[in-house]
Amino acid sequence: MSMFNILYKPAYELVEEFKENPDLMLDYVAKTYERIKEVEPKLNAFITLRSYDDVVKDVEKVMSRLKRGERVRLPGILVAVKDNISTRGLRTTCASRILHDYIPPYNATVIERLIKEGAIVVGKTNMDEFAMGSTTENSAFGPTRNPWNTELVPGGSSGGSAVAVSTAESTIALGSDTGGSIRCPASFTGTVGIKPTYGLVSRYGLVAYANSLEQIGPIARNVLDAALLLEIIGGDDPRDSTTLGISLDGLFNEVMDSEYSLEGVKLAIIKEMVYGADEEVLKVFYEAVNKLISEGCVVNEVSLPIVKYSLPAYYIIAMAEASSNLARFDGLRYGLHIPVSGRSWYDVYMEVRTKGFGIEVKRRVLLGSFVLSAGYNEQFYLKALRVRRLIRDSLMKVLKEFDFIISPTMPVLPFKIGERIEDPLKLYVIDVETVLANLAGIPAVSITCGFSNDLPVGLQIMSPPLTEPKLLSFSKSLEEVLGFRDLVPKGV
Amino acid sequence: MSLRSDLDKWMDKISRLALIKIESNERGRLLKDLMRILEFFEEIRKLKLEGIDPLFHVIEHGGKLRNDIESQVLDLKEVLMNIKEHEEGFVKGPKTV
Repeated sequence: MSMFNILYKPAYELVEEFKENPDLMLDYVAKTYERIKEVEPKLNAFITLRSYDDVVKDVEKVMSRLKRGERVRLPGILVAVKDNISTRGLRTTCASRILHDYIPPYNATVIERLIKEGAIVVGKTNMDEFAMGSTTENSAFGPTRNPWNTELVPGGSSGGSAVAVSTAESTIALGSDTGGSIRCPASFTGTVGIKPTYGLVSRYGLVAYANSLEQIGPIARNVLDAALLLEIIGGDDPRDSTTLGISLDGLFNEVMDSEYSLEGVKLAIIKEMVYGADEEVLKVFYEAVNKLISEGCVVNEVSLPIVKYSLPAYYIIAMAEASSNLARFDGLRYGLHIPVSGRSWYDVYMEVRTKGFGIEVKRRVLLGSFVLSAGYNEQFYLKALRVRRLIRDSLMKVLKEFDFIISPTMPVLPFKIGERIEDPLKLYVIDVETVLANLAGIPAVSITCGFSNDLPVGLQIMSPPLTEPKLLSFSKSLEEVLGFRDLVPKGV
Repeated sequence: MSLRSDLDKWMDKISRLALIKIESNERGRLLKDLMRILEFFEEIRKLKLEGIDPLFHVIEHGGKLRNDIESQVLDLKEVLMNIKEHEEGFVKGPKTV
């Protein structure tokens, strides 16, 4: 276990050690690359891994920045980045054939901020193509496997990022969450994932799938590391007009110093969210709830009938936005290309997109085009948006009365690779707990609340917009009470 | 007109809208999938929601403006590296008219 001492150390502790002794970074990077060599063939968490030599060069740059007395918040920390976040000079594929060789000429804002703070990108992680999926099986680069049991899915769509963090192929990671894509793999791998309030983190450089729903967010092995990463990536960005102009400076210290008392904290469980979840998940979830009650939390069940429409509403909106956002893939300016000479635009675009997109992307773009088309727009798309308003308003009402809404993150345990992939609806229904936060734009966290059959079970906590300091302080208290953090998976 | 030919017409229409060709070997499977998903969407279609405004975006106050000052632009050489057909700094595309 000695090698694990440094590999599984929290980022916030590594940072202090590296500031004292910058040479330690080289040891940390060498051990991480040994670990990657050992586990990556079994897991396939990365689409593109940077070379050890390139990373060491970056470490040396950070070492000299530290020696010059520069103060940075993440010196030498290795970060795995989901492959739909643009990295200058480093291939960004979205796990799609259509972007197989695309090398962005710019960095996403979140990447710029990480580099400024001394963090180092270790590689680009596997995902469902264009973030459309909940298993990381819909990838042109093959599936990623769950490190607790390699026959099972790791969740998705940010599966590669969650697996990299849980197996210490990196210390922290970035994912993106459109309908649960950070929280689902966090739950399935025993890590912590945050879907921030909409507008808190810049989407500049995130390849858009459903832009009114998605946010970039952290995946880490404990709440404090996730808070530290969120503090750095969050904040206003003139290049994303939907950012809210709110700075997160001081978030980490606030959460670190907090001693959030569970006494009298009012928690709501929405009946329609937990209805239908598997028995083994509910058993672990209610054991955790009982623990919270014994610590002084007050738990009430609430019924919100509108919640049962959240899944179809979510999928209509997501597909509509996808059909519009993915219209940019024409094979001319980037990605898969076919010669244009002597051919019509219609033939060229049609051929590139037909060859470049995978089956789930095709389903969503086709149906998205349909629900936006003349005559159907009002029946499907606009109606889904009206449901969205009702859902947002009713969640906000519950959150006026209660401090937090809790639920299992996922209604099922991690399942076998291949088990659900042939039937899209069987996959859509497992997003039932997670899509609400995206529809309403509110923050949500997933932490581990227990185990069933040696597999982690995630607990989701939602709170009102822009209450991340409170949400993360509460999550840290829960992490202490429940006792699950910095978990080392047993399957690899 | 038979239901089958209606469905074929429908598939051709959305294929044109999405600019995605539906290959004959995947047509059957796709049609089945899309029909099942649409059935799942029916719940929304059936709802009576008069008087409730659509919520396009959770931030309803609209976008914001930035000052009109010169900022750094992308490096043309790097941008062109991703483009297979270009001439004198311009992207070469197919005929559109």
